[in-house]
Amino acid sequence: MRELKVSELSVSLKDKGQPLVDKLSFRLGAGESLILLGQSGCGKTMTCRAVMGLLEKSRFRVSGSASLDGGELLGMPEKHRAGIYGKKVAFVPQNPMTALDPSVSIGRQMDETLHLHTKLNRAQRQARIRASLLEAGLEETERVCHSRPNMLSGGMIQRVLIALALSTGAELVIADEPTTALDVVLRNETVDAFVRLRAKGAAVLFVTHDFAAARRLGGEVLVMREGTLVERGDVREVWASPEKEYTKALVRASALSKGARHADR
Amino acid sequence: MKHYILRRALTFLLVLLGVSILSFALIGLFGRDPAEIIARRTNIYATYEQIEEVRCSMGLDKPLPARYLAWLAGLVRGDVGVSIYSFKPIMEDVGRYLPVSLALVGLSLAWVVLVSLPVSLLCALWPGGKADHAVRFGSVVGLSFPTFWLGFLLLIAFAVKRPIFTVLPAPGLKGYLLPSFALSVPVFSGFIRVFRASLLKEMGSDYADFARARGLSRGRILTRHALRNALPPVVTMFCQYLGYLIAGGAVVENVFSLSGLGTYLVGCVAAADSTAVATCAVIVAAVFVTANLLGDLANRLLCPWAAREDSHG
Repeated sequence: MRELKVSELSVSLKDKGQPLVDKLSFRLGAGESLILLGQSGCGKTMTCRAVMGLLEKSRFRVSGSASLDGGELLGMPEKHRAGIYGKKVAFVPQNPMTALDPSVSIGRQMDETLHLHTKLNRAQRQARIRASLLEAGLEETERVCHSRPNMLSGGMIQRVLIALALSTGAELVIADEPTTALDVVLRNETVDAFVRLRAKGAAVLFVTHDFAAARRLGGEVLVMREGTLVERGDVREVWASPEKEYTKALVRASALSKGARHADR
Repeated sequence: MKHYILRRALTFLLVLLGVSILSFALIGLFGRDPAEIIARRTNIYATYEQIEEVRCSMGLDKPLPARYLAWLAGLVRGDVGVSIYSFKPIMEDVGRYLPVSLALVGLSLAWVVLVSLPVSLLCALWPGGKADHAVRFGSVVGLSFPTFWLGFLLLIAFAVKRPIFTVLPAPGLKGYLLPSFALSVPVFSGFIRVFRASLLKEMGSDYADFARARGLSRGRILTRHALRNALPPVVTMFCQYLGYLIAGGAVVENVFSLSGLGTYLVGCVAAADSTAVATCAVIVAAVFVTANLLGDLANRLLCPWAAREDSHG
């Protein structure tokens, strides 16, 4: 992948005029990370889902452009999806506990994805699944593969989802609040997994409302509010000297919660 | 699992006991006087003494609880006596009529699977499309059809106007095709609505969304993931219908001149034959409870994670 280019992306509900995302533009190159940051309801998830083609056409109106290496993603025909999604573009959803089919073992679901996107034989696929689980920080690979999702913790499934992105060699990873349900230790481990992905050359589009996670990942940040872009820049610079009042409030809130965590200790 | 099976076995016996007491008592207390019915069969002007003589000879003069206990003991032995409706041993009647009902219900449920499974899958694959709207409308119409009327329409169409079938039932499978279809129409109409809703709920779930993000097509998600998870409510409904249709098929049996257990049961109720009614009720209840148990076990196999959550909850 060379770049993901999003231009004038707008999302609105079909029965309501108010845009959920309003003319958002950004670009993301290989080995880079871009963070969409803001409070709940600011349009971060909508942006991800629009790029992933997961918004129902009957409910949402999506306009603008999102192109991957020049190929348009918005309104992509069903038959072309399998060549892009799950293969070049991996998604890590917000709630890991409900992301996988509860009836099917994790190993089978990972194998299904690899079978769809690669020409590997069964033994090769199994080897790659185990290698990617290890790389994502899951050591009991056999147990994980034979478990159904309800048998593992949220943190473990989060790492399974990251392993899935690793196993297909995704070039762009879109992560929608992957650290929300995790404690601080797991959050840092998860962010570090994305850092490793980026180091391997993948582009990371990371959605969060947590400045600490954003700073740990690093890269460009887009601060969003009510669907519009408020401020953008390097995440560490924005944290150090925010320009807009909204960003300052977010930084203050994040610093306060960090202080509270220290006080708790 | 051992506790579960033990609990279900105990429930099974309690349900059968309850059903037998209720059916025996209701017919015994509120039905017509069976002694009078039998006496007037041979002599329309039977006197009070003649009726009482019949009552004594058939043991109907004993109190209802004593008659119930005698019947229960007979049921354990496998001999519940002679029907005052048919004058034949009740178990012999059941042996003759039950296979007809089972064949009718079995074939009806086969129609239900054959029609509702592909139609529901198609609706879930393209929800909101023209076919989906047509199916939803058609299912309401199907649910509203009285089965006797549909039965007569089918006979007129396929036995009178175009004599592919016969008005009186032909021997073998052919004789059951029309009646089983008539019996299944309201059932599969209801099934389609439940199954479609269940499939769409699964297709809107987070795991289906993530499966799309993994590159899986809607068709694959539907058949490999959503279908299995959508089955439990449909399996439960399917198993409930098994018992319900055996007794509820009487109307269709009458329209198509089939001698099934439903028709026999209606005849026994009219003749106030409490022992035969209670026997039939126990058989239907046994089928009903066994089918429900099988449905629960099937659901445990289909969605073991749900069973685990149930047992924890």
